[in-house]
Amino acid sequence: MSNIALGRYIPYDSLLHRLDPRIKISAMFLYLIAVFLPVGFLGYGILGAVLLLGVLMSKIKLSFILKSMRPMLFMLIFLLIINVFVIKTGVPLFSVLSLTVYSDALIQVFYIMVRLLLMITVTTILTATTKPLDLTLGIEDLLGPLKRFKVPAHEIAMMISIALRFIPTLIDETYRIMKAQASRGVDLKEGKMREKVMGILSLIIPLFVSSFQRAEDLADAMEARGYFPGKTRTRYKQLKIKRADILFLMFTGTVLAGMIVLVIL
Amino acid sequence: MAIEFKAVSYEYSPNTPFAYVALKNINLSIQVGKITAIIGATGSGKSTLVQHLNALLIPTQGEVVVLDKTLYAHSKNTQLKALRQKVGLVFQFPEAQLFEETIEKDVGFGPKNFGVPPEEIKQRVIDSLKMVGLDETYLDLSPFELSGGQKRRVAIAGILAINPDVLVLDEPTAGLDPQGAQQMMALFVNLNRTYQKTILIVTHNMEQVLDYADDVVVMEKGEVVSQGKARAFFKDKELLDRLDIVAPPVVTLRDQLMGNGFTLSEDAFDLDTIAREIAREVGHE
Repeated sequence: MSNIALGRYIPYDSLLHRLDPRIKISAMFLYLIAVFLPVGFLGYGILGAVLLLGVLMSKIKLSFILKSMRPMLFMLIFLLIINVFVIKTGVPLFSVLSLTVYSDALIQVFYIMVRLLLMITVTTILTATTKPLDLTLGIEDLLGPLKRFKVPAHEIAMMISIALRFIPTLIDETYRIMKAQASRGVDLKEGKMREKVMGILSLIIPLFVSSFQRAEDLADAMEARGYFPGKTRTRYKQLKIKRADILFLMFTGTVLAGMIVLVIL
Repeated sequence: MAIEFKAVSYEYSPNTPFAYVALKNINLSIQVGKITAIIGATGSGKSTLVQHLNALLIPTQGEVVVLDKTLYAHSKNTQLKALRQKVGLVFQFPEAQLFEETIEKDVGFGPKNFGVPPEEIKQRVIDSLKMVGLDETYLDLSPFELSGGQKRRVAIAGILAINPDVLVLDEPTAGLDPQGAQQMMALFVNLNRTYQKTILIVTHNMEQVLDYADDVVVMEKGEVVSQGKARAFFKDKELLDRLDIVAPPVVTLRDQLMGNGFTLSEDAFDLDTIAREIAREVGHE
């Protein structure tokens, strides 16, 4: 469980944790739009500073965010290689084995990386400060207007929340079965290739079986309590917009506006 | 040859907001060749404790000695597979680990992983199925066709087929009917008496502790709060009260009989013996 940082809720009590999920999702989208504008070094500097402020406000440790960044390393190397091969404009910097590296290639890679970094950080902040169920309530409300076009907003939200709800359960179950099979001599670390494949099978099949069992049980339990998709339901948890929410959204809007101005100038 | 915990602590997810100390400075010695019951409330660390026995968990502090292997905190422990062959661990609800097409293959999965030759595997599969009360007609069935109780037996047979010296069972009778539970416990006693296997059972059932266990270990909030002989444990009223453990009815009956002037021998802990001794005492008067 400890090595999965991406998309986990971290239960602190901070200003960001208390904000309305709808506001946080909207703000994230505004920020993402800003990230995808060609704002140059200065723009990214400002966006980075704003994000750092967000991280500080959320009380989440920088090391946690860096940890969720680790899978990106491979992608960085991949991007670097592709760009070095493809982009041949700008000032030639140096050559490695008859391959000349141009400045534009490095700049391009730098921009992509900064964008990815900012994107992952902002989504990590969102998921780390918002309980999964609040997140789906927010999504449901934001999708609400689409109901007019027959988009099943509630069902989508319910599916997301069930999926999110069962991720930790599945992870626990995976570890449990892994341990049970390790007790039966499965060695996923040191064994031969053939044994490893068999070991993975011994993990996947029980997980599959138990997931279907769980899904069936859940469906029965929901039906037994009168759940019926498409029917109007009331909500126990009511979302309320507070003054801090409005200020937060306005601030993010201002950042976006500022970036647009920066691009036009 | 021994099983010993020396100043063992275990912490889940250290250095994160989810950090949780499940075991605190455990010092414990478990007798080889005996049946030991591990009891304690939910979340007291029983399951964490037993997972150290076949190195599924490595202590974050201290060391664990299991037979001829010592597991140290902060060091790379290798050759764990050999240990896992000697210590068979049956998890709670082990039926979740079944995955093969036939029962024969599933029970034979463990021995195959530990390099038992094919001819011997077949015999071991038949023997261990017989031990759990399933005959050869089950060999070619799919484990997924069975009832819950039968699945449990097949899963346990899958561990027995590895032929471990130490058998660790985490609540093996949870969810079984009383008769099935009794058969299961009788199997473990037989494994202990006939094959000298060391048996460790995590349980919530005090009757099982009294009827089947030689020794008992009581855990509370990640610490071992009591360890000793099972019978002596149930005689110690003060200790039971302090640990908030309700003794089985037969112990209460015994206490009340003795409080009312009957003399019962040290090991009169089941209804038959108690009845016989009372009959003798009343007959003499």
